[in-house]
Amino acid sequence: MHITLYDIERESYKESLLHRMDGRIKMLMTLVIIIYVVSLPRLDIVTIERLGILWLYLVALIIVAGLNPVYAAARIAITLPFGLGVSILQPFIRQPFITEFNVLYKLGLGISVTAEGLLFGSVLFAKFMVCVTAVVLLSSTTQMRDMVASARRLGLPSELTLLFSMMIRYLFVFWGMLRRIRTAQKTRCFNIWNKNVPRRWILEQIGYSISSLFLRSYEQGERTYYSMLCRAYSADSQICVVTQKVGASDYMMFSVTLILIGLVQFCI
Amino acid sequence: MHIPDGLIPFPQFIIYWLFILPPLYLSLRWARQEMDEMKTPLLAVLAAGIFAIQAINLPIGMGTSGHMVGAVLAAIILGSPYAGMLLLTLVLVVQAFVFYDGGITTLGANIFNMGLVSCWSGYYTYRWLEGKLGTVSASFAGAWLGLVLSAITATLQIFLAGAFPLLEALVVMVTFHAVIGLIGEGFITATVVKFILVSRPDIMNLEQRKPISKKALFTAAAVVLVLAVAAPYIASTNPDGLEQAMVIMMGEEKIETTLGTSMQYSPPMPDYSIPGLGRAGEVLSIAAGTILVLAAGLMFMKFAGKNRVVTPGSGEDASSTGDGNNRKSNSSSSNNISSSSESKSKSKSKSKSNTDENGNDNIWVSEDRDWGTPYIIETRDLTHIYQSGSTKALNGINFSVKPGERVVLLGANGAGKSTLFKHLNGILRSTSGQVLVKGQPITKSNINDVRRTVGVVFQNPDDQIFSPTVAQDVAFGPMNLGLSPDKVERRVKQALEMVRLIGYEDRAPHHLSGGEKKRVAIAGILAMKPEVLVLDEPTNGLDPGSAARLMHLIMEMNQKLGITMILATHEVDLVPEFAQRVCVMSAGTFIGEGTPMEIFSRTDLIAKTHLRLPVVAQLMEQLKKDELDVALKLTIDGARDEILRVAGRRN
Repeated sequence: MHITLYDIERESYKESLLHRMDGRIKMLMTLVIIIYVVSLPRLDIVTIERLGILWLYLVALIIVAGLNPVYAAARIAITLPFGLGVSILQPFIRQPFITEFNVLYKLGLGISVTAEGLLFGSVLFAKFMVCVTAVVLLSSTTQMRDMVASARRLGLPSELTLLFSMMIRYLFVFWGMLRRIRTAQKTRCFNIWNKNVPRRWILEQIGYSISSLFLRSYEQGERTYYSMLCRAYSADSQICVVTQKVGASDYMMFSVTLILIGLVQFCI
Repeated sequence: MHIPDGLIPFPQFIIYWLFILPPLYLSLRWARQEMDEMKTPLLAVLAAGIFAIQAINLPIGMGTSGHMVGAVLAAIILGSPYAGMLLLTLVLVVQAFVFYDGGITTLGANIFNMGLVSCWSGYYTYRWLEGKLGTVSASFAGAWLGLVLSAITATLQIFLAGAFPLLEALVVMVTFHAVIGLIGEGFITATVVKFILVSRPDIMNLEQRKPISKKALFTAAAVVLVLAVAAPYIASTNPDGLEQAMVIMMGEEKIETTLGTSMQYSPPMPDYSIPGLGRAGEVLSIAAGTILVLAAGLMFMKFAGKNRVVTPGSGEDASSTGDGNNRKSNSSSSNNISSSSESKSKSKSKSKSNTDENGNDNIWVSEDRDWGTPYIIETRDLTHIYQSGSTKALNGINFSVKPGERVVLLGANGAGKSTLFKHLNGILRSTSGQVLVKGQPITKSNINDVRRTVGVVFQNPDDQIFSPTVAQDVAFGPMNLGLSPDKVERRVKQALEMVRLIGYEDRAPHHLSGGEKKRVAIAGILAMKPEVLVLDEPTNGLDPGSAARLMHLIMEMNQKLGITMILATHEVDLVPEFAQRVCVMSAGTFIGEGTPMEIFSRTDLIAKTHLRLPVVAQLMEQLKKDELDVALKLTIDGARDEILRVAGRRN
């Protein structure tokens, strides 16, 4: 399944307890979970149990948020290959930071599976899985502009906030532009694997389309900038103003998450 | 794929964050001071553009593909590594928080390797080589080196995190990135720089750039190297999770694990140390490794620079002559869609190739019409539902067009005209129903023939035109069909002649007027010798003069060459002169079909579709209300005759 910016946007516009939550709280929750996950030791079987519980909690939240399960699974699956690849290789590698290895199986050719490698690989994979799920949950329940606004209210400098909010505005414009350029190219039978034309020519065409996209985004930037000037834009201008208040349910969700992390850390 | 969360342990990721924050602050300050004080919005929009560019996959070979990073490109074009750093930071943050490409705690590490290391090394390599190799080649080298160094840094980061042995990982990562960097980073960056130099040299503004002193250059290189090597090392002495790192810091070397064995943690360095020098040996060994790889990369680049095409115009023909035969044989067989009997397809390809060999443009549409149906295009109960919505964009459309016909699709915005058009050449796949071209359903195997037969000109010419010159853009389609260079040239000339743009071959599309752009877009399709031309709102945004000239051209192509014309519009005044048949669309269905006279006589239909009568017809209606005994006429000539008749000056 192919996931695009539009799919993420569609999910983030749904209605649920999690969608309604204050963006700041959601971001903090995600950060707390990720930082806790990263801080766990990587050669400890208990880590896997702790991560398993956290993961189930996140999956439950995905269900509560009413996200399309196929979409959520596809997004996790798309992001995972790199992490999966790194984890799968670990049992066969002598990690530089471990000095003693217990060999479990010998596979010949000098390759063997070590208990430490297996454990390290499994913990890495569990860590990736929890982090991916946390971000999928955050980005599918929070609209992008809310994320920027929340980051601003959490202390992101106003200049960066301006940059991010404008970037998000034009992300969709260029995404659409790219799609239209590709359609127009398909109409004239363009296919990057076409064997009838020299590969170099194909690359040049891709280069040209990237160039024109680059130039068009630059010129769009110029036009936007001038139009902003026309409406009295200055470096001190405030662009986004959001005044959502943190409600009781937000505090509750945050505390539930913190308590869960505490329980996971000290009771297992 | 960037480094995900969990791979880089706690103390290390904090160090990377600390290292990128000062340059990030400096980048912001640069944006404020150097770029006209508050031109920062431009950077944001450009970052969005780079984000989209990163979504384009580039073919590398053997089925693999890569994509470009774009940081060095931005640094070169905007004239400062700060620009690249800032843009890439924006892109990486959005990628991490929205797509989870790269982790959030590891953002620092990712910005470190792709923003800091890549931008500075790439940009200063470019500046250093600019005088020696020229702007375009230097940008190739800078971008390539930036990517390779960034890959080396990332490898070091992963190694220090304990996940891979250094040397093996370096070999894999450097080889991989050195190869994809040639195309993804180097070639594309050089192409874009070339393109910008041609169409908007003012952006790069090469004359105004301050020369950089050698001292500054070496300092920058030294800083980058030291950072790339020293920063991760400092953090790597306590590599594991926070809990265990703290235990080790408190002096306990051994830790009991639940595996039942005791395990000794050690910093990852000693394996790669120069013996007898202690810690210094470790640092030196890493630095030596880095320099070795760098030297190898430079050698490779020198080699690559000779053989790969970097500068404009060099070695262009060498690659194209080899495939000549292959392409010729392919082009002659690419013209038929229906190949029900062998003899038929033979005779057809003969007649086609005759046309091509002689460059005779009189024979355009093949005479052979044995498709088993009188229609060149036919849709049967075509229904389309877009993924994002649940409403039917097209709902049971039955639309058939005979060869040589001129058909107008009339409908308000959002009626489904553009969606229907995307079905006619197989860009969209139907939810249900069928599209037949020359009696054959569109399949994967005949899709290229269908697209050659049915040419679609889209509404916004800017989406279609992307090459640096008009001629190159018109050649795009014929090249894709695999025609030989001289045939392509002939087709380009022919097409430009037809749209009256001879003499515009070397102009940049960028500098054309709206009407001219539209004509280039049509020429681009004409060069593929389509038998059906589908035009989406062709006169949209044109001044009345240009619009009239364009319509005249379209009529001419239909009458002289026999090209079937399907045209979507909501400009009703165009319809009576042009159309033989009108189909009225509303909310994804056909609600009326007939001659212009039949359609415009039905006032209910017109009201329903948010359209109006052509002005001439409005005048006639008005005259009728004034109790003048006139019949409804749609064209100016018809109305004139009718009024003269009523005035008694003509029979």
